[in-house]
Amino acid sequence: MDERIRESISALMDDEVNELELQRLLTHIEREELNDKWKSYHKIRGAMSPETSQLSSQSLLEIDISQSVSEWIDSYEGEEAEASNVQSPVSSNERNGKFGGFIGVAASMLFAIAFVFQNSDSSISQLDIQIAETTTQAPAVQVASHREPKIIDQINEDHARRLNQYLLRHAEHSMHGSRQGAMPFVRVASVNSVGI
Amino acid sequence: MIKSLFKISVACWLISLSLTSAGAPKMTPIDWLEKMQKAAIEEDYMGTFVFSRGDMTSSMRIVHRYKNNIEEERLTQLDGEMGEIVRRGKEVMCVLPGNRVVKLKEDKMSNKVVQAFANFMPNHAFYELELKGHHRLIDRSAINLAVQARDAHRYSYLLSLDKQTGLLLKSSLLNADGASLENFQYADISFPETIPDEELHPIKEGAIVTHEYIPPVKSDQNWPSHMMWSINWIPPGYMQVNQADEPGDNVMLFSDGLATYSVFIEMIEKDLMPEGASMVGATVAYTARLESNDHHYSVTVVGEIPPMTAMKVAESVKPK
Repeated sequence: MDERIRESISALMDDEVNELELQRLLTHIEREELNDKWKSYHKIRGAMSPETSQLSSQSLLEIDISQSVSEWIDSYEGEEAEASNVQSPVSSNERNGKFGGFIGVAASMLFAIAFVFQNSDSSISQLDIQIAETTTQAPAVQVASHREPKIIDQINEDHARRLNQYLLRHAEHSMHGSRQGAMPFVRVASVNSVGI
Repeated sequence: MIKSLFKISVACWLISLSLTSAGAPKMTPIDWLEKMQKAAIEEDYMGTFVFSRGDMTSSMRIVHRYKNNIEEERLTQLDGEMGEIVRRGKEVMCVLPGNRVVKLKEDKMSNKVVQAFANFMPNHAFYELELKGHHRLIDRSAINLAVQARDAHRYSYLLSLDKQTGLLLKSSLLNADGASLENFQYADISFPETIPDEELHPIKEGAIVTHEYIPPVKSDQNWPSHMMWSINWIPPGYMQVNQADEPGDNVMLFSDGLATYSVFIEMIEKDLMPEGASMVGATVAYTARLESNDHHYSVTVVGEIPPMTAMKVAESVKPK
């Protein structure tokens, strides 16, 4: 899929889509690929911030907006054809107004669905999300659900020194092939403690 | 006639310029990440930057040179007591207050990082990469790149890269709530033609009094000599980037192309870190004391990853 289409879908999810991106999406709205990507992004978002809702998540995922928009386009084209048959001139402003109205309706539908998805059922987070192309070498063994990690607020001088040693070793490892540049060592240098 | 020829040649030049720029491939976010990595290694630069995490802010000076395929770098703290980190290739030296020089004793892990690590790019499945336009930063044109984590096992980044060189000029590391865990920004930077050797020498080289070495991560003498370790849970998208396939290998490194974490497995000692997560900005050091088949050992996971992820990794380490 074109990178721009992906970016436009992402912008729509974040409510940051502009008119050009919306038109681009509507141009491709009948493509199965676009619907699949739309569903995939919302599965991921649902996994990250699951919330309960009374709506059925599975039914939401099955909504295909292309049919509704296509029908709207057909009705709009039908109106235009009828107008031209009776030879009553339609001003460009009127056409633009109608097209703008079409964009508005389609946008409203898309925004509404995005809003509904944001409140979708926590069962989405339970779906077995298949994210393409994992590069994990070792098999992902399911670990039982964990308690929250204990955060240590204060450490003594010996522990601070040991922590700095770990940070320095980790920084040394990170510099191999890391695209973070000097950042690993910046982190070590900034630690205000007893020193290494 | 001459005037006509001149006009035609100017027109041709303008046309070719527009065709060239129109046809020039636009750089993708991955292209920019590659350029950023290359610049960090191969550019010669010096500058001053501010690094902050939580309530802590540090100003530092950096000099970086790439000469004869060797990377050299000197980081100098500008706040508080003087301290420096000097790096030449794989050698790392810390110059600390009190004229102490501390070096890392080379461990075999450093030589086992797979070459593929350098080419390992963050996967679209785990990060959403998006160019966010450009702006002016420290009097230079900078490209903005958003790297949004798609799950809870990694953080997100907002990066500003120098448009000309690709060097990272500004960055913010964000957690899942969008809170900033650390910030980095240059206050000034220059790219000189040459950097003299003196700029890369520690400031107190002539007055060094003590030399110390940080030993490698210790394994337990009581462990069987053939002991090897397995990490039974690796967060999605991460892969091991060092070969730890020899008996006794007790340090492992993992990366997802952006974030990295190290796993240290060692004998239980009295001055080990307490169990739990010690946080320094975005960096977590999670220590777990474990036991398996009468073997007692300590696992510490260190990296710029969420504490929960570090805990799950640490507690999944078992002898093979």
